Amino acid sequence: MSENNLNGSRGRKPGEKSKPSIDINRQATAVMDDLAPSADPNVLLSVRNLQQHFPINQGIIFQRQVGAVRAVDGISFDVRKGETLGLVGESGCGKSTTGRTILHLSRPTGGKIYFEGKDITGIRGQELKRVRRNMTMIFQDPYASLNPRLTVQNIVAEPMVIHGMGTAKERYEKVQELLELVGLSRHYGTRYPHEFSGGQRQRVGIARALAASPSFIVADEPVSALDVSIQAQVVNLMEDLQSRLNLTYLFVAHDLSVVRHISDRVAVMYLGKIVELADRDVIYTTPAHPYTRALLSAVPIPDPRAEKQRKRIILAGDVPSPINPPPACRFHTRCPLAQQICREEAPEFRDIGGGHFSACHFAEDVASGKLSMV
Amino acid sequence: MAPLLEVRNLKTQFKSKDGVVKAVDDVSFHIDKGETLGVVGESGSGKSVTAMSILRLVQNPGKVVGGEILFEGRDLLKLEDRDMRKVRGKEIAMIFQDPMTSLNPVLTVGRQLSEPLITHLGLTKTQALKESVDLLKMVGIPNAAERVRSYPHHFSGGMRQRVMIAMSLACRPKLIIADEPTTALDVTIQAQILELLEKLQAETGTAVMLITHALGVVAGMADRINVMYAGHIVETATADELFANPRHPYTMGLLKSIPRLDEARRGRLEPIKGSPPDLLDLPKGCPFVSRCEYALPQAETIRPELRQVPAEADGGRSEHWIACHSEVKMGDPPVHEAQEVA
Ligand SMILES: Nc1ncnc2c1ncn2[C@@H]1O[C@H](COP(=O)(O)OP(=O)(O)OP(=O)(O)O)[C@@H](O)[C@H]1O
Ligand SMILES: Nc1ncnc2c1ncn2[C@@H]1O[C@H](COP(=O)(O)OP(=O)(O)O)[C@@H](O)[C@H]1O
Ligand code: SF4
Ligand SMILES: [Mg+2]
Ligand SMILES: [Mg+2]
Repeated sequence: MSENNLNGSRGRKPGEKSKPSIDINRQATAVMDDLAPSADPNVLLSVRNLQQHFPINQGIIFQRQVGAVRAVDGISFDVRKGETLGLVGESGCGKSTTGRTILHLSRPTGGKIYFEGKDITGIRGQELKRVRRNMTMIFQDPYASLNPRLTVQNIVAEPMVIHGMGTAKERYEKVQELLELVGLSRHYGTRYPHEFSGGQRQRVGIARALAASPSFIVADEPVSALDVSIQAQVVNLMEDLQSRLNLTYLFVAHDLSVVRHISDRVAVMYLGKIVELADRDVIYTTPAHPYTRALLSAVPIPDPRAEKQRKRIILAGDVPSPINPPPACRFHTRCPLAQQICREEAPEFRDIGGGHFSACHFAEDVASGKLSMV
Repeated sequence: MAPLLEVRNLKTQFKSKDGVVKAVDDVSFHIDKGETLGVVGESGSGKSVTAMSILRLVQNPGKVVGGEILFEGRDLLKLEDRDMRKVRGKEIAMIFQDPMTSLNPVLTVGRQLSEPLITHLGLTKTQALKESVDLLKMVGIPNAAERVRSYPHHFSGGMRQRVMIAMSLACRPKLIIADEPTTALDVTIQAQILELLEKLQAETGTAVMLITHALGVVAGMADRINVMYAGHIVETATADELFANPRHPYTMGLLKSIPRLDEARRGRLEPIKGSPPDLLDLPKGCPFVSRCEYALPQAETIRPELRQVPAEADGGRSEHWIACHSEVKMGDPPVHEAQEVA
């Protein structure tokens, strides 16, 4: 793998939104399938060929494994310091599992995770605890993710307690600061989660995630459960915090409009694989994978005139099961462009130029529009 | 031409120990034959309760406490239960967000499709089964002849929603009320279902009341749109007009707060401040007043009635109504700023 194959726009200041920049001098055929981390000092997290297979067991007395849910099945990407990498795809494609595996909430069955250049795959004990302080998660459901029996003060302080940070008084002060930071009143600390609206609860969840001063946050559908008028408040908050605290986000979502807004780069998942990865505007204007094309065309746009002119690519059928994913290209059973080769050979996840990765045999022709799908 | 459905001054309330929730408060609107009416609004704004009231399915402690629901001229609120059941099965059908709540898990899909055909249309069992297969074919279920013998849990979410649509179509209803029919589905499956609904509607001429919180969905599907907020219709216009010329500050706020897929980043999002009001503790005046950038002093005390404003998108042929004291358009500066300038 060449050293700089993942970086379309380098040397960006933290907090600054990157613009797509195409580096034409770059090797155009890089593939991200070996296990070495990125050598780029701007990269915070490298994931290489990550696998998460959940065993399916059968039998009551003698349990034996009869198969596996291949939730994440060999994915590679980098997250750069200070950026937001959007991770999109339909339900069950493995987005949450990817986030949870990176955060060591479950052990990967294969592949490597590097954080700040160090291999953190499978670390345990004190080492894991240290890393955990630097990476946390914001959950989708602001109702389920907060302990209903704890006050907001105790909920937000919990990560500091776990990591033995500060005295009780210092923690109290810090919680007060955090509440203010996320736009809640300082005296909300004495209240309980059920006293808050969904948007306020999500703010509490964000305050909690920030308590141990992490540098990397996996936000798993953080606005999906919120009303549209509230979503924008939380998205803005997350952006403000990112530039103030120099945070790096992996932003998991199925709403492609929100992801286009918040992300610097976007990765698209299908059935346990990343099928495309590129700078935000590149992926939305010149998608190089048929699945991305179909996904984008299916998103309704709140404008009747635009809607009347759009041509939808309606995919046939349902997403196949991750227990028995189709061989070769996983998308071939639904892909309008599938050829013989797609059923026989798995397309490589390769850079077609400027850090634009696609796993399709015909990526270039899809991106250029030479192969039309409607 | 008289509308297919006319709802007049509908009021539906829930009594609780903390007080009375006015879930739907003096709502009036109509649906014409064959048209698609979109109903949008955030969670708790009264969309589903409106739908349930039309079908008279509001459960205790809820009650329709006022108004008329005229369906082809007959007030549904005055019908005998027996006649209402006929209307529900035959003339007005319902599609829910979660198809499993309305499919019976222990009966085959064929049985469930056949039943209304036998009771309402008087078909024999064999005829009904044959018709069921045709219905499944119509909604795009592969191997329909075999799949009639399957149980709902054998189907994926998208296929179950197709089965629900097949069921709703069984008796050729004049109106289908679809409450968030695609909210639980992925976008590619949503696209399949919306396309199917559109196609079937074109073929059968059924009117659809499409309830959703997704502005994109109604933009593509609806002829006209009602915007609901805290139990009220705050704006109603054709889809083209509503999106081109929104006139209620809440509608404008919604449109400004959502990022668009087809637009490059345009800076920060502009959220609506605050959160929806507690229905137990509504302000006396306009329910939106505490969140509104354009509120005039009288909005605190006087509830604005729906009033007609000029429509622009189609040269003024359609009707456009808002419940707002202010006279503002998208892009106007907030009221307090304007006052400072003055
Ligand atoms: N069974 C019930 N008991 C008490 N209150 C209820 C009941 N059902 C609905 N309500 C209240 O009526 C109001 C309107 O609810 P409704 O279900 O119509 O909202 P909606 O617009 O459909 O929202 P959503 O988008 O979440 O489906 C809400 O304040 C809700 O809490
Ligand atoms: N603990 C688990 N055991 C077995 N299967 C799981 C587990 N967690 C997730 N899966 C399966 O892995 C796949 C990916 O799930 P998930 O990562 O939650 O998807 P997404 O977040 O993209 O919706 C799904 O098929 C899901 O059912
Ligand atoms: S490799 Fe073939 S089947 Fe896969 S996405 Fe590309 S064209 Fe479609
Ligand atoms: Mg998930
Ligand atoms: Mg509802």
